[in-house]
Amino acid sequence: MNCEQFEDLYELYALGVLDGPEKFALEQHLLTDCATCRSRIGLALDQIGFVSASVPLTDPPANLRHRVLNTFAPAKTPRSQSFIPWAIAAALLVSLGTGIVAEDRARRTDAALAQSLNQDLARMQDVLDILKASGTREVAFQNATPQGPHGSVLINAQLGVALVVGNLPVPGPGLKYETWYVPKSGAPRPVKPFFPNEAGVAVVLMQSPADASDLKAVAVSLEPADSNPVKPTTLVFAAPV
Amino acid sequence: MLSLHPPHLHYGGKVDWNSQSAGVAFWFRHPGRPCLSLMIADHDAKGRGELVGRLKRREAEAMVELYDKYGKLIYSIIFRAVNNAATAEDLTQETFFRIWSRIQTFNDERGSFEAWLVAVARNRAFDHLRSVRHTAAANMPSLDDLEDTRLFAREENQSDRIAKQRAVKQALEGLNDDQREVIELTHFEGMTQTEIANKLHKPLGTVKSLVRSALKVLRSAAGTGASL
Repeated sequence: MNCEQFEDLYELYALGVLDGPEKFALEQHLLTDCATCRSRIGLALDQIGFVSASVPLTDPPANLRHRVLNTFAPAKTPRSQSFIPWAIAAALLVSLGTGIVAEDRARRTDAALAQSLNQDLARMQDVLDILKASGTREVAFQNATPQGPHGSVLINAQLGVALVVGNLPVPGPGLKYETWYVPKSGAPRPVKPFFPNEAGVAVVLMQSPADASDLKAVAVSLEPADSNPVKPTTLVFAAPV
Repeated sequence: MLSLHPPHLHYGGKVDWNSQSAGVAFWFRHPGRPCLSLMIADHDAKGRGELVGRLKRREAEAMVELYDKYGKLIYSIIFRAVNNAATAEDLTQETFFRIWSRIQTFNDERGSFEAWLVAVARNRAFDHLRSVRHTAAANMPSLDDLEDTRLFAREENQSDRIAKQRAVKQALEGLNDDQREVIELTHFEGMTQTEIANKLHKPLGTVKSLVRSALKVLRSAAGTGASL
């Protein structure tokens, strides 16, 4: 098919509602990086925008403004519990959006993507369950500088421990983060390695220590990616609990 | 830009704005040589560029301005699609969060900001409707890809956009009932032509013909046809 034969398809493609062999043919054609078709899709998006904007206007509920803008309000000090849902939303959006899509779309199957997303969702749900459960203790922590890592540790003897942290730099090449349980007596014990997402947010779900009452702090260190550390190499922060 | 010499001129003006645009109508008359002129100043384009810049600098106050300017439109687009206030609220919140998290990818020298905002809102609603309708995602284009700001047409002069917006609205009103119905189902509810044929119990060929003829009318009104 040449460009003229796609004349009636640009708007449907730009709306995301083109299906069947026509969708396949246009997508194959777009792989040739056709400047004409890309330009026409841009114009179609504009045209669709005009149609969408002609929708009868409906007043949103008055509380929606507060609800939406509250998400972007400057953080208060000390940080409150609202950081956790925000961090979870950020983590989910990144994994649903740029992270997985940019990295893997070309080589992962839809089934693999769905499985990965389901795992992320399940993990976030687990953290929310801990947050809501009775008997959960939350301890907020903040680095000395506003730009440093901050977040919360959720501790529930039955459900587990969740570390929710933001402002965490992406570790350098060959490095990973490691979480540690620091007991009141004895040596720190490595619990789980992790990497933050591109927004600097990490949500780490861990099994509770055998004796939660003996837990003095949850710490995070930087370690060589291929190591099984027995003691922290470079301490990043420690959250007293 | 006009160069005016106020001592020799009588002049006046009128500011007109709505949720999406602003224009300034201006007239002047030279003593002894009556004349009347009008210009539309694209003040909004500059403001929009500044707003995008502030959003990119992560200024929370910019989100307040963004919501006040586009919140009603975004909510309305989503509400029209999902027809449920609670769901529309959730998706509106998700839309603003997505705009905030994706604003760094937006190039305001290349793409139309308003068209992009509307696309982000529409895609949130369509995503929801797809999940409700259990539409097989594998058979559909990715809505994420359709938010790539490199796809969007270059930002036009605001007065041109206003004129095109009005022309498209008039064109929509001029469609016959069948044409308008298929356009509403594709543009406001994200249905494929196959889904529309099933919903309306019409042959697929008939639906395609209706869509084609309606799009031709809209294309002509928006000036986005092949002749460009």
